[in-house]
Amino acid sequence: MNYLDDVKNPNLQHLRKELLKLGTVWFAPFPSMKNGDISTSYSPAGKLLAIRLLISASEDCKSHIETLQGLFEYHDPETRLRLKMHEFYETSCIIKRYDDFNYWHMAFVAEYIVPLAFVYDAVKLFHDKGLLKRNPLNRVFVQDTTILKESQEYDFLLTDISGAISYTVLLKGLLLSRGDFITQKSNFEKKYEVEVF
Amino acid sequence: MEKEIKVPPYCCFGKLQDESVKVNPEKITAIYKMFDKKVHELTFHKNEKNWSLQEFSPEGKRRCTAIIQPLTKLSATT
Repeated sequence: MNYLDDVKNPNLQHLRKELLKLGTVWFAPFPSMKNGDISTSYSPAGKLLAIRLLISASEDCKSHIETLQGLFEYHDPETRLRLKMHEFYETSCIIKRYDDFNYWHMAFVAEYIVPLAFVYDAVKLFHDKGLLKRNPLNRVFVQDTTILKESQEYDFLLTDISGAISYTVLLKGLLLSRGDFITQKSNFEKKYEVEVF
Repeated sequence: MEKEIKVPPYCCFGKLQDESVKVNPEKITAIYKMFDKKVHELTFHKNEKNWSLQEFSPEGKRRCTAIIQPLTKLSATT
């Protein structure tokens, strides 16, 4: 429809619930006109969403990257899902510990732009390909594309890594060049005083 | 010759159910599903030359209807 009420829409609630069954999927709130946000709808998609898959550079990383190489372009005639990787880049996670010591961790982001009707199929594909296997840092972000022009930092709690409280990750703005993002990433690492190796 | 009207393959939450497309002299209707449940019914009204889109909850309750006017018609009235 023209405007989706993020809190009240039962179809959106249902979709969020089903996505959570697949793994660590964060479906960010849509912009709210009630809060003065600008909400953009498209026809016939309603909403165009960015699906950003955060892959930590851990032991499974090599196999995940190999899997993603097969998903640069993807078409499933049964579900009619068509995917084309919009962006793939390296970023930094800052892991915050109880002893106030932050440490750096490398991660990768694969980014796709998908109409609302195909969000579940896309995340289900990542799940079926083993990309959502439990890892404390790996996560899927599902967000309205219209609010992602600029890079943003995201904070998430960590319960599965001993001594760690949370982590912060920097994701690239959709319209930002890779060169500008490298500068932003470097400033992000300096801000948290981490040693990059 | 009458311009052919095609329904989109997806719409907001739902994907088109090909077998649901019905054409009669007044309108074209199509049903869109998510998780095998009807979430939208899209209708093209041939006389008015506009579209209406209804949304249904996962329990099948009709939630709201939006009328979609072609852009050319909107431009003509402003």
